[in-house]
Amino acid sequence: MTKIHLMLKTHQPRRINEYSFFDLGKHKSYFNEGLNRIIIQRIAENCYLPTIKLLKRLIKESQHTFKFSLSISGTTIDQLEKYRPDIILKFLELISTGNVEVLNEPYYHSLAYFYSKDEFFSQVELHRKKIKDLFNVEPVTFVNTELTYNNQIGVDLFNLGFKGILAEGAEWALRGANSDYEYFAKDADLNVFFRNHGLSNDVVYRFSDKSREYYPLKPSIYYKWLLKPTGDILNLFWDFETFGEYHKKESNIFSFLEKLIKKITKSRNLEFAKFSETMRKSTEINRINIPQTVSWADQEKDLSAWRSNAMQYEALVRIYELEKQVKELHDPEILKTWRNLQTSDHFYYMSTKGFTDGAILNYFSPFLTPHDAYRYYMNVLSDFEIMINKTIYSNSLHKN
Amino acid sequence: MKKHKVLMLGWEYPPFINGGLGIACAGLCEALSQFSEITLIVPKILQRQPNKNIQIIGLNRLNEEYIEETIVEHESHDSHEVYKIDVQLNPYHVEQNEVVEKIPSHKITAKIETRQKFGLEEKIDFENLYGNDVIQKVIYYSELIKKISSHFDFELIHAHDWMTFLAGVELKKMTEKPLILHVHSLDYDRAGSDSRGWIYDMERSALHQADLIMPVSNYTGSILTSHYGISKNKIKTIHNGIGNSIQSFRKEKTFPEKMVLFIGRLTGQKGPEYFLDIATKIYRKFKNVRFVIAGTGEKLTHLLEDGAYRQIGNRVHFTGFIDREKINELLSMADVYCMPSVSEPFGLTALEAAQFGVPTVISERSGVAEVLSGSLKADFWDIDLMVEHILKLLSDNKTREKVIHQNNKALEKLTWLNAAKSVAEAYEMILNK
Repeated sequence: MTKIHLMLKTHQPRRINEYSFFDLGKHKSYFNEGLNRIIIQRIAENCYLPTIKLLKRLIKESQHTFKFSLSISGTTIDQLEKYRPDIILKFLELISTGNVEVLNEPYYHSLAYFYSKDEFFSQVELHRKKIKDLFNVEPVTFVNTELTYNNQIGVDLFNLGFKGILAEGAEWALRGANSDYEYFAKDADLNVFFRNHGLSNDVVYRFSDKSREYYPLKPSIYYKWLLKPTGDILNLFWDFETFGEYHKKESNIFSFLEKLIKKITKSRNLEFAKFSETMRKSTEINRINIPQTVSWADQEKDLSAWRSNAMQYEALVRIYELEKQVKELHDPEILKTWRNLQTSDHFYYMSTKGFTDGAILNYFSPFLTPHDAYRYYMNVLSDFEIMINKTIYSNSLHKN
Repeated sequence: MKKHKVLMLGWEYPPFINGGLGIACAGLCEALSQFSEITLIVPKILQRQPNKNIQIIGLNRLNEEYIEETIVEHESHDSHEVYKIDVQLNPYHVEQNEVVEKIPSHKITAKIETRQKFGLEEKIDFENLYGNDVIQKVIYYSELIKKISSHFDFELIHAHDWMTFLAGVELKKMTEKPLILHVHSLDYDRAGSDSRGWIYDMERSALHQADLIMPVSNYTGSILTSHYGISKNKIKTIHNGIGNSIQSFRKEKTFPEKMVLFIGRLTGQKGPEYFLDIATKIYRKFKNVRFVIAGTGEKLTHLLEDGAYRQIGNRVHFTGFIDREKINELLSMADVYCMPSVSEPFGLTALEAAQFGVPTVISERSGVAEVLSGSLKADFWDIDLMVEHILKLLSDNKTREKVIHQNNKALEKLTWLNAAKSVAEAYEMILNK
């Protein structure tokens, strides 16, 4: 029996405003709450509500043989609590079935690991605590932002007590190894689960692709594809938003999901499992060496989606160099703002890969061009810096 | 002095302005109307302006009376034989119904009647005064001017910048009235010393045919002699004045750092890259400062990336395109105005900065450098000297006050009235030749 690790991941960033130079020092709202609210509301209606309902029913109807894992970022949770607390309750009901393994991740979906390990550990702990408070579960499996992974991440997460970690199954990093087996981290006793990106993206990105031979993709066809790989496991990592947001309900994505899950739960060859159920011992499996960082973004599957041009490099350096000042202030609001500005999406919007004179619009970006994204981000950051300096100054006055 | 009748050819008129040209043209005409009778023809006006001093004709508001068939009389003083040949190439789309095929050689002056018919259906839209088809617009403008000029009584022609030079030259040929070309900017300023092509050729040819050329600065005059081969005797510099329509004010900045300001189109001519160099060097020595680059242009994305590469993106702010009100707001907040232009015929913004009491650091290669006597100057490429000037103004109040004071004094002299007086004198001189 091949074990299927289905992982559903949802992340929504706090998108920033088109912050103008003329607002510098005025400390206007950094985050475009109008837009953020609209998007959260839309996804709640089109995706979260119908998908959660369906998943719950499928768990029940499968007599609890349908299981999966869930990754939900802290910025998503924050926004749901603010705009749609009912969705948090729906997630709680879903998780309470016992068939959902909730993963731990950096709260703010940040690249903190690569800039400040202290900050990274803080965000992991914040997320762990939030998941515990809301859903009363203790994660044992970790997924770093955007499936980033390298040997050192494995060591650091093992030291935090994790048993397993997720990673992108990038060919260049696997160097011939098959993503459909379990591996051990090179220098730590930690299970590493690599995404089968081909089969994962067949659903996430290609479900509605009319140019494909198999359009519209039938559950029976996809099921056959799932039988082909020869490994012990199959790691299918899907964006939660695949259902009802990337692919609208008119595309029949929901009926695809339902039929596929039912087919697998009745299958003699495939079965669903949670990561925590399939953790192996070091004597049973091979270790894998991933010296360079992988991620699931773009063709390159490395850090270049967030860090390849000068604008991205600078913005990242600038936000993390504020760490010391921010933390010394002990002001929870300022700390939270700083962390919301670390979300990887802000830097992704600045990516110029494949960008030629505005011809290609970044689907996820709220801005017209990567240069706009950078300009507004730097204005926000400058205002934030001014605010920090003011606060430091007024604190020093109070002390004296 | 007699009030001479002048036909003024312009391209921009407020509120339809793209840069300093429209402002300068309007400012000059207004003041000049005391000394001359002006008819100004521009492609586009907002409405028929009831201006008792100046008759302003907007081609977009032309009356039918001008458009209908008119008879234009060509006078020829030559006694050559003229033959009609059938040519396909007819750039002006003018139907010539009657052509005298042969001018009797014994006549010293022959009058040729040409009936011109203008197809209104071919009217070019002046919605956008520039754009890719600016050359067609220039030709069309010149055609229309020839067509309607017989309705006006004038002694001389005064044309502003290359867009109207063709019309000026055509009118001169037609009427044999003296032609004055007013140069606010040259193709050389925009394209550098490599400047060539239709615009340059037309500019050059017109300049050589003109009776008098009025550059807005000695700097532009020197380009006319060196790059266009114009004789110095034909050149008379008329420095722009500055209107007092802007009410300057000071505004508290909302951030504690000093502010160094650049305003201009983000093109090579304005030197925004040099400004970035300057900013980088200053920030290395002096942290308490922010730089603002206001305006947009083809270099915007490149400059943004360059600023990021130098890791000063948190101190160099790009406003993108901004309107007049926002420009005034920037001027009211700035501590130093810097204009590192590679070639700036005049540089109106520097005067505006001075009006707002902002000390100015400007390129030697600019017209304002000749008149704004308080300004600290440097060659646009001399980053170190620019940096030294700016740092001095940011840190030394005495220098700062001195620059502002001297600029204020210079501003007092820089009136459109003074400019208009010189222009009127030039008219007198040309007509009495």
